[in-house]
Amino acid sequence: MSVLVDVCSKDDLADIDALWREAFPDDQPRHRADVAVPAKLAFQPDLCLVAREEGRVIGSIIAGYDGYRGHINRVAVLKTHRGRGVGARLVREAERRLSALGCTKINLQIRAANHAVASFYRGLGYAVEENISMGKLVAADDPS
Amino acid sequence: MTVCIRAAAEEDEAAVVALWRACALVVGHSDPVRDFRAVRAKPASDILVAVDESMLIGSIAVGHDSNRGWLHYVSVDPARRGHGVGRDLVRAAEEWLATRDVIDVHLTVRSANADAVRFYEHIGYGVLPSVMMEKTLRKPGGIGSA
Repeated sequence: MSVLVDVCSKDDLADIDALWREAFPDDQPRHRADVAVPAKLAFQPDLCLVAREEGRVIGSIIAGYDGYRGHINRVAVLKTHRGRGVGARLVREAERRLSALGCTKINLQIRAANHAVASFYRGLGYAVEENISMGKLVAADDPS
Repeated sequence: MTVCIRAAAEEDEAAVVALWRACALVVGHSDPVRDFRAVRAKPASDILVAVDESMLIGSIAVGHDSNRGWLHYVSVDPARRGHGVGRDLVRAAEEWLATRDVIDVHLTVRSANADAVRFYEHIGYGVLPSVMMEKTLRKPGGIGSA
């Protein structure tokens, strides 16, 4: 059985939705596949990738480039298909595409307690940075 | 003090890079001239500057990947701090993102920089329970690249 990594299309939405519901069960609505994937396809379609086996989506990654740093998000592989290097192939393809855009560094955010995920990325050449991540939802802010 | 915030122009390069150096934001192998040019050249990012008369006193790099907005190189002339220039730069970057329908704004601060954490908390940012991991990519076409 061969796994192909390729850009995703709108036809993959249902598969991606099922994949993300399994991988990210506590997702916020704005991160759901039917919101996030069409937005990404309209903006940087070549950075929205899936892994397919026999036509079925078994993995995903969404890469981004903000003009300064590359980012990778939504790295997911179906539980039944883990341990076969699919995640690593998705990350490497995202890195290749980001590099081709002129990106020199990738930053990614993981949950502090997620040792298995940290170890996965360490194996792909990523190192933990002594940084504090901060964020804000601007719409929730009083504009005064 | 009448401070104006505007998009950086090509001629601002030397002053912006000098400001980033004065604010100790240029570390390791980073190349601020390359960063200034790349951020201005890419379609989804820009550099904004704060100018008092003809003097450049602050800057911020803002960009997005459709999912999230990111702030980098947030800098105010050390002699001009405490007058809201940093707050106004961040607000201008948030507005820049909002006009592109991006409302989720992220940034990272060095762990030792408690003053920066306090500043961002004061203007509505919260510390996220996440850890950042980083990888430097090989240059396209360099030795060993695919």
